[in-house]
Amino acid sequence: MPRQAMLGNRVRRLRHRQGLTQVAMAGQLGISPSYLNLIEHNQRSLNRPLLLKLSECFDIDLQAFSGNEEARLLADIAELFGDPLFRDIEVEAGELNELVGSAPAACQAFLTLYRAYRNAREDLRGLSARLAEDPYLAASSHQLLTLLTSIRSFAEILHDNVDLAARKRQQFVGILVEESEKLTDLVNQLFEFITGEGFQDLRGADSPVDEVTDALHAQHNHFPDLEDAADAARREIGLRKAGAFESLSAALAERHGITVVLGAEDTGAEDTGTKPADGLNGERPCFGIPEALPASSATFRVARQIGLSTLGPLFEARLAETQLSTQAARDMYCRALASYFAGALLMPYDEFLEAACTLRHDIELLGRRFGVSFEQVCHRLTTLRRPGAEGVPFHFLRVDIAGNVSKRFSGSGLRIPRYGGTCPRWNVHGAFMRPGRIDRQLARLPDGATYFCIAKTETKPGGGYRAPSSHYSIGIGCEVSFAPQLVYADGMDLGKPEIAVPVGVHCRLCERRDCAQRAYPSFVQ
Amino acid sequence: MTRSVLVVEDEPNIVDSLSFLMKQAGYGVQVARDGDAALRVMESRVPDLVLLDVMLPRRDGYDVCRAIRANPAWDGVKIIMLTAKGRELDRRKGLELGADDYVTKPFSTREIVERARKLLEAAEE
Repeated sequence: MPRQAMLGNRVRRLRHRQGLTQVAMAGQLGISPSYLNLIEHNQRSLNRPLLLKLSECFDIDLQAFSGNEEARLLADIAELFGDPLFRDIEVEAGELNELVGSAPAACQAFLTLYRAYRNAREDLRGLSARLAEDPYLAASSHQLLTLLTSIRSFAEILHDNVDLAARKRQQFVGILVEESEKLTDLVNQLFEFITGEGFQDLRGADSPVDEVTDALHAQHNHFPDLEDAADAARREIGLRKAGAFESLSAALAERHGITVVLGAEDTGAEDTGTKPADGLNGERPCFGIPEALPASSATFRVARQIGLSTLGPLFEARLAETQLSTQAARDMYCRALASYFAGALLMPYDEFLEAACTLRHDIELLGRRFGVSFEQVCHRLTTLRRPGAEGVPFHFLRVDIAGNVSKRFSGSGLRIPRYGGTCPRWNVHGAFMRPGRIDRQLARLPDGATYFCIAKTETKPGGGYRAPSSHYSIGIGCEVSFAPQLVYADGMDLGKPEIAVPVGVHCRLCERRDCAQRAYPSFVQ
Repeated sequence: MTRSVLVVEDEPNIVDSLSFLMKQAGYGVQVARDGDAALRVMESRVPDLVLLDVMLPRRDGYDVCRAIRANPAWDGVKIIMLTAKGRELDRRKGLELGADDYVTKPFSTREIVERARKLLEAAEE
């Protein structure tokens, strides 16, 4: 397994840093040098007692050492080699392991470069599709050519015929002036078209999402300072589950002078209301909550607004750790942090962790207990990574009805592809066929890793007939060994590999040649 | 005997400039604004040369070219296609359909006169 493979490299690097020989290190760990050698070359796995011994002897952070980050890097690099661009380059898995293990920074740079290439390629595709298919541009170019043809020919006629009759000359000059004016108008229109909004939306729209996802991953989607801030705010506000909306709204009004207005119009955009609207006629600023919003979402939005209003300095500090390249990505990151804060405020860490265990991760019961939505519970479950008080490591993804992944977090170790769609066999897609019902699946990847996954569709209410609802499928899952802790696995024979559905990550990276649902040819040898 | 040129072009200003150039070169000029009109004009008087725009409304230049080459009565008629710049495919297609030459827009007036003259002189020999 890649994660184990990474560990060998890490042990070797640790030993080099410590300036130890294999004999010396093996002695400290109480194993034979030859066994250590096997571990370093990924021939033997590093079991938990040995891992603990390592952390004792060399004072290392186990979470950092466990190789999650490198495993993700390896998966990213492996996915990259699935690109048809590298069709003629045969790279073996072992080679990639070696590369990621020995030069992680160079791999990171390679990834960055690849992403930049990918964005540029997409921009270019969008642009040429736009140019080729745009009826306006096609008509304009014909018009341009016509104008140029007549201007050029009359200019040349005037030039070559100095003795032209005055009337004829006047007629031709008149045509020249007229056609030049038309040409000016046309060029101005074209210029507006090219620099205007029409071209703006061709920019890679998904890159801020990717950047933010990476920044969250870098913190393992766990933010102790936000947890602390939420605990403090909860105490100050005196927040209780009953009447949470009212007490949060009151706090927002008292502390931040922002009035919550119910029944505001929903623009349909998901981030509506993350910024307080300017007050009308010098009144206090208002914060609108659309009428159609369910109570849990309304409460969540007010909680998020409190985060946005109070956590400016904390956001700044967190932003400084990231390398987000665009303002859009930085804004999105702050919104994500504010949402994290809202989740932590409404679902206190210890209480939520305990409830998750006793209710055996029944997401709907958890939602009812904490007054939050299905998606908010799922999201909170992925944040339970406090060292010493960890919850089940979950992956989480949200796809829309067209299969676009709009949220992803691979905490369970399941690889969720960065580019393009996921494997169509994943139940997060099939869930759309049974809207509103929880779908469960035991999914086995080509490398044998097995995950227990559940999925359910959610509808975000729209604003009536003219602003239709949005539909999403929420998928959450864990490595199969954690599945008995989930109420959803009850009655399923988890030990029977034959009941697991054979899935992949993405068709291009999948070796299952006999899959009837294959969408793209595989690049796996 | 005066040679005659049929200008087939839908843009009035380009028609004016081509007519001026051909008249100045000493040829008789007839004009048609679209493909059907061009074939009608040819029925009553067969020109020596057709300056044929590709982008015509309704019946395009290729179609007119094909129709001219399909009629044995018009065997000696020379055809110069007026195509858009850089469209290699258009050019080849015109030549395959039986055009004698092509000129790309925006054309040089001297060049178009020169090519017309060459074709007509070759026909005379």
